[in-house]
Order: sequence, then C-alpha cells, then structure tokens
Amino acid sequence: MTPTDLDVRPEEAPVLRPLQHSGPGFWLLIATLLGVIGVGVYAYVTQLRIGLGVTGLNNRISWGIYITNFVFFIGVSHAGTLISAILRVTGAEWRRPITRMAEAITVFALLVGAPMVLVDMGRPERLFNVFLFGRLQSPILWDVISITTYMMGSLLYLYLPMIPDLAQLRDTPGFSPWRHSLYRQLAVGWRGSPRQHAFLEQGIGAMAIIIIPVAISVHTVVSWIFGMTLRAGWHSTIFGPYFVIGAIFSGIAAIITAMGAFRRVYRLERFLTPDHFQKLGYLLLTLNLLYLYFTVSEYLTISYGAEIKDVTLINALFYGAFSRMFWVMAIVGLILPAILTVIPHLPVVDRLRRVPLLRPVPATAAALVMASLAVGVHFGAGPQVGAIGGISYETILVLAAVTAGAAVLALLPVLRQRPVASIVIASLLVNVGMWLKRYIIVVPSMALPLTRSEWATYRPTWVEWSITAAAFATFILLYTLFAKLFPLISLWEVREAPASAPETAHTQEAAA
Amino acid sequence: MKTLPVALLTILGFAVFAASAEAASPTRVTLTAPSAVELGEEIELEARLLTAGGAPLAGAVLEIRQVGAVGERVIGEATTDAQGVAFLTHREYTVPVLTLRVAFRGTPAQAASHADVSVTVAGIEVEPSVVMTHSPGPAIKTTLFLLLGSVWLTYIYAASRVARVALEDRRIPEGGRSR
Amino acid sequence: MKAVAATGAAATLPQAARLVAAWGAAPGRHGRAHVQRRWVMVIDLAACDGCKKCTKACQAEHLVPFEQEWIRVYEAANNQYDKYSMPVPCQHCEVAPCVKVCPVNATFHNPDGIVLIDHNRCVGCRFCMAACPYGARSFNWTEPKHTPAESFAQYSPEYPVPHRKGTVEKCMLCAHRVKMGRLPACLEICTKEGMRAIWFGDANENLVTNGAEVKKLTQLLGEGRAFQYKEELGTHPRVYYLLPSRRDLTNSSAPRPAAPAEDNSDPNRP
Repeated sequence: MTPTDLDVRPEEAPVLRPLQHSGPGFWLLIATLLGVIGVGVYAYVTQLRIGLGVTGLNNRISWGIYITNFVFFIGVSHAGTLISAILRVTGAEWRRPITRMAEAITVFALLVGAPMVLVDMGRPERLFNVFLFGRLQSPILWDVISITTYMMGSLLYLYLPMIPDLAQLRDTPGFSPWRHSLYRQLAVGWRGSPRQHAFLEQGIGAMAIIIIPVAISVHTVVSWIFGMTLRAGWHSTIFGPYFVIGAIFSGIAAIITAMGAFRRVYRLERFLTPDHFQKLGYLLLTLNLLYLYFTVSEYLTISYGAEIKDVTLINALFYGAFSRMFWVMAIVGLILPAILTVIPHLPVVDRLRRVPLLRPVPATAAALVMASLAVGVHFGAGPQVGAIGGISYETILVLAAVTAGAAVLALLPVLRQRPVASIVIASLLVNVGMWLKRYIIVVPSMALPLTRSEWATYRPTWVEWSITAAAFATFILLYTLFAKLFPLISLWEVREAPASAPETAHTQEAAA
Repeated sequence: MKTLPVALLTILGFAVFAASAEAASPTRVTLTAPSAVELGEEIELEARLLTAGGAPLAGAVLEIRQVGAVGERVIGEATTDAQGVAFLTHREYTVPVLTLRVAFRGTPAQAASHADVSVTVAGIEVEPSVVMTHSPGPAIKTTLFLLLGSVWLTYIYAASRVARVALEDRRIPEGGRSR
Repeated sequence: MKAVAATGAAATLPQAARLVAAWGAAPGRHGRAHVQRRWVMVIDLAACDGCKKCTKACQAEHLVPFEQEWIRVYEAANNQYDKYSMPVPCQHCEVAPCVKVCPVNATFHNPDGIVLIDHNRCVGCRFCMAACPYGARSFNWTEPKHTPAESFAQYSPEYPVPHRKGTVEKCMLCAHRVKMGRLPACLEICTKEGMRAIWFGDANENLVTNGAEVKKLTQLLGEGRAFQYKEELGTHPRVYYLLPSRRDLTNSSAPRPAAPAEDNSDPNRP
C-alpha cells in the first residue's frame, strides 16, 4: 500500500474551499434553516404542553405524518449502506468520490428520523420505560435495537474512512485553533504509515461487511411495525423486502440529490462526473423497476383475492378518497423518474425536436398556466363550479393534462442533452414520491372502516407540518454544517484509485 | 310533595315486614354429600331441614342450586319427608369444582336457610383459556443474542483498529511523516 | 436524565411487581382447589335495541374523558329488512394483538383474562391502537377534564380514574366491580332498562347472568346460535354474540325489543 501524500493537491482545492470560506449564501441558508427549525421547536413545545390533540390525529387514524416521516427518513438512511458498503465490498471503483456523502446522509437521516418516534409518543418522558421494561415480543423493541445498532454502525462507518482526511486537515494551516484541535483529536495520530493503513483497511472492511445485514434488518423491522398487525394493506408477507427495496430506492435518490446540489454549489465537477450520475442513474432505474414490481405484486395479489377489506382499500387508493395522492405518487415517484433516467440513452427522443408545436419554452409556459388554472379552480371555487368564462371545469382539467403531457414531451430532448440534470430531477421526484408512498402506506389502512362504521379522515395541522419542515431543515442543516467542517469527498480514497480511475475523474464535464 | 307520604308509608311497611320476619323461627339445613365424584356420576345429597330447636320440618321444598361467581341457578328440588330429610341428586358434566347449595326458601313462619358443599368432579376437562406467548422462546432469544453480539463485537473490533492506528502514532517519532 | 429515570423507576416498580405477579399466575389449570376464573360476556343481539344506554352508563361509571365510547353500538344489517344493533366492547381477547405489540408491557392480562392497562407505564406510542382489529381503544389526546368526582378515586388499572393525558383507554370489563362481586355497568343498565341483552359470568363455572336470571353458559350459547366477532382472526375473544335473527324463535325470558320506528307498511317485511 503506497503511503498517501498528506499534502493537498491543487485539483482538490474545490473540496477544501468550503471548509475555509463561507459566503453570504451559506449564512442565508443557515438563517433560513434555523428559522424553520425554530418554528418546529415552537410547534413541538405546543404539542408537549397541550398534548397530541394539537395534531389532526384521532382515535381511528392514530398514526399520521410523524410516522410517515419516521419511515421516510429511516428509508433514506439506507443510502450510505448501498453505495459505500456494497460497492466497496464488490470493489466498484467509481464509488470513491461518493462514499462520504452517502455515509453522511445515513447518519443524519437516522439522527432526524429516530426522534420522529419520540415526537409521536404521548408520554415522551417515559421513554426509558422502553429500555427498562421492554418486551422482546414487540416490533417496536426490534426497532429500537435495530436502529440503535445501525446508528452506532453508521457513525463508525462514517468516521473510519474520514481519519486520513482529518489528518490532512490537521496538517493544513489556516484553520482556527478549535478546528485544528478538533481535527487533531479526531485524526488519532494518523501518519499515513503502512501499518496504520493496514489497520484502517481492516476496520473499514469489517464495518462494510457487517453494516449491510444491519441496514437490511433496520428497514425490515420498521416494516414489521405494520406487517405484524392485522390491518388490510399492512398484514402483508412481502412488507420486509418491500420496505428494504423502497429504502434503498429512497437512499439512492437522496444521494443523487445531495450530489447534484453540492456539485453545483461547491464546483465539484471534477470529482462528481456525469459518469457517476449515469451509474447511479442505472441503480436508481433498477430500484425503481424493482419497487414497481413489488408494488404491482402487492396490489395485484390483494385485488385478485378480493377479500372485502382489501377491496375496500384498493378502491379507496385507486378511485376513492386517496386516489389523488396515490396517482400523483405513482406518476411522480415511480413513472416519471423511470422515464427521466432512461431518456438520456434514447436517441429517438431527439426526433421530438422536429415536431413543430413542441417548443420547450412555450409548451412549459402553457402547461404551467393551465395547471395553475386547474389548481386555482379546484381549491378556489371547487369542482362544483360549472364553468369559468364559458369553459367547463372538465375542459380545463383535460387541457391541463394535455399541455402537461406536451410540456414533458417538449422537455425530453432538452433533458437528453443534460443527463446530470435529468437524473437529479428524477431523484427529486423520487424523494417526493416516496414520502407520499409512505403516507399512502400509513394512513389509508387506518382510515379503513374496522367495525362497520364509516371511513375516518385525517388532516394534518400546522404543528405536524411545522415539525415535518423542521425535520427536513435539521437534516439539511446538519449536512451543510458537516460539509463546512469536513471534506465531502474522500480525498485519500480518490487518490488511491487504481490507474484507470483517474480517467473517469477527468472525463469531460457537461454543463449541468 | 306527593313523595313524602309515599316515603313514610314505605318505611312503615318495611318496619312491619321486618318485625314479622323476626317472628319467623330460624331453621337450618344439614347436608351430607360426597366430596368427589366421577364425571356423570350421580351426586347424591341427603339434606335434612331442622328448626333451630332440632325438630325436623316435613313437607318443605328444598332446592338444589349451582352456586357461581355471578349467582345461583336452580337445578332441582325435592320435598322433605316426615323426618325432614330430602334426597337430591345431580349429574355434573361441565364444572370440575362444583359448589352446590341446598336451600330452603322459607315461609312466613320459617326463616330461609341453606347449606353449601363443594364437590370435585373428576374427569372433566375444562376448555383451557388460550395462553398467548409473552416472549420469544429461549432458542430465538439465544439466536438474537448471538446475532446482535456478533454485530457489536465487529463494532468493537473496528474501534480497536482505530485504537491501533492511534497507538501506531506513538511508535513513530513525533513530527515524522513516512513517505 | 437520571432523575427522570429514577422517578420513572420508582413510580413503576410497584406496578412492575404487580405485573410480575400477574404474569406468574398460571391460568386455567384444572384440578386445583383454587378457582381460576374465565370471565366471558355474552351479548344477545336479538334483545339489543340500540338505545346506547350501555355506552352512557359506562361513561358515567368510569368518568370517561372526551366522550370516548368504551362500548360502541353499531348499526348493522343482514339485509335491508333485518337491521340490528351490535354493542362492541373490548373483546378481551385471549390472544390479544394489543398485548402482543405493547413495547413496555403496559397492557396485560390479569389472571382472570381481563386485558388491563397500566397508565403509569404506558408511553403513548399507540401501537396497541393500530394493532386492535376491533377498534376498541381510545387515546387521551389532551389533558382530560378532571371532575371533582375523579379526585376521590384511587388510580388502579382496573379503575383508571383519574385519567392520564397521552395514554390509551378502553373497556376494562368493569374489573373493579367484578373484583367485588358486582356486575359490569353496561349489564346493569341494560337489565334495569328491560332489554337484558348483556350476560356476564365465569366460563369455567358455566354460569352467566344478565342480572335478572342465571343460566348455563353453554345452554345460552347453544340456544342463541352464538358466534364471536372476527373470530377468523384468531384473537379468541371473550365476548360472544347471540344471533339477532332469532327474535321470533327465542324462548329466553328477555322481552322482545321495542318495535323499530321504521315504516311497517311494506307487505314483504317479515
């Protein structure tokens, strides 16, 4: 193992620049995030004071968007495991620039997701009862054990590969004394010697192997919170694998989003190349199709068997009370991302340019106009309104759908020229879609009539939305602060790449 | 204000009743019964109704009742003969520990009385309530413990590697970097 | 942090001891001299007239907060002419999904089979509410209004008064009355009002009463063509229901329910 050079190379300057300089944009972002978190804290204090009655929850739908957030964030936390651990174990070299960002996502998603359960508890001060009197038979206890184990593991797995970079930072002049002291302590005397390398590789290798089954167990036991009950839509045998696939899917999307954001903001094009996005795009597409497969399998099985409670649920999802959200989720989260990840590889899309009416800018403008009209009419006057200026509401809806389709087709050739943007947009859509999917999993099964009474309804209140926003803000804040303190790219691993790898680092950069 | 005279009359009525009840002479029932029988075997009870003074009460109706936590159920009756003795029988098929009560309802002249006996009926299999498991069995617990243990041991191993890295630093002279 | 843990432990240790004792008691062993109770409730759907006085009596008895309904009366129908009302209390399942999933052992079976809740232990996770297939549980979403009557009560899981914010509530089969040899509040009001639709007793003794008469449980169940609600789920509930359609066939002494207010002019109506 060649000893690494602890001097900074010139091409690595962009990675270290954020640690040394903070522009006004950074402070503005921090201020905004702290503002959102402040509102969330106020909302939680209100909830502590008055009780969970400030939420929209009721005796029939007693779990809502807090649990949705919990499942979502734990799902996102599978990012690090896949990229870092599986790709490391299989020896995929292209993972090198991405691993730290992925591992950081895991840690922070866990740090934000696990407390969502505390937020949902009626007596959070009795949390220790779970540890003192925990019943091993309860899926919640499996959750506690699993998530604690995963959190510890991902912290270790984030920290170990950081050590050489921390040593480099320790030896880089220009940091404030407390930061220098932080780096020095965390670098635990790394000198880059062969023996130290050997120890480090042993540690990282062991963690990479053990963290994979731990991560799989985490989202499996989260799924069993639902799967072990007797409710329609929950009591499914495939929930374990279903949730794991969904988690990895969410996780990849989160990584792509984070990569896209930091690549643009910190000018990391040299490290995060279109090739990385393309490969992650393949992974995203694979998981997308896998998730579609599981979803179809689930819904087809229960609708074919046609037990009354299942059919009631399916009708509500496909046609009834939850249909709008369901179809938005399906199109935004499952169909569109698949199209967007595939598009850059389809030359046939270029033929769309020749269609005279499909100019991107006018088509998009028309679609936005019709969409806002439709939304405005729906929330403003409601669908009962017969017509606006002689045009009926149905016509407006149809026109909105048509122009939206036209805009998508017009934009496809544009996206084909911008593969990175295409994949990043796909990942954003996946994040939104998967949050909606978790909602679709949690709420409709509780709204279902259990004992011959009507469907219950649930409308989240400002408290729940504020705390949700604060959770996302906390995640972004932690990540931004991490990017300020530690390099986002694992420099020593990139340097260590075999001779062929630097080629991919220097492939031509496409404007993103 | 109609309630006041009604209330007064009721109290008066109770007082008269109580007074007359006290006039009824006390009786007692003595009971001979087996303490254990087989399933379906006839439980023969010999009940004797006597006044407090010991004189037998003939021609009285004695009821045999099953006594339970929520009440009593009459399952038979018999009349006492000249010696105040009545024979009552019952066959039991469902209750393993049967509490039987032979009761004399009482007349205006004779006070009510009863005697209880507990009979164990062998051979009755009470449908046991289903007992759910409250924790995984020892096999599962051991497997879980071993799995979790191996995970945390791996963590400790990884942490030990960090410790070795730190220790290694002590061996190299301070400030020296190996190239 | 430590103070919280210490107070938490101190508050829950007596309950822990009680729970340990409760778990230690073995149910249903025949042949022992001491009697093992197996409480069951039988609800005669032919006699129930849907007046919901049982709900109100239960609410009054337990000072139930937030108009929670611990016994809910549903309107059901076999067909458009054969409507009936179905009171559904907590079914006190022998294989209770709620007890299975509680992470802290706050809900448990007492030795007689009644499912109770320890409100000093409950952390308000509401997993039991998600798991119950009968929708029997309610949650105290905010601080319950504390009436003066409440302050005289000594809290126990059998009689969970005063009520606690952030914990789960449900029917306790009036365990506090049953302990003293009385009958559940819903049963007493139903008998007092004349329907006599609710029966209660010890299945091991094969005796149940509706407050007016005492009957053999097996006989009542046989005559009434008894069924259990959602019994295919394998919860083994302790509540039996007697078929509503035997209104004309029943020979029990329960009075016929009052004629429903619907229109009787339909010649096809049985």
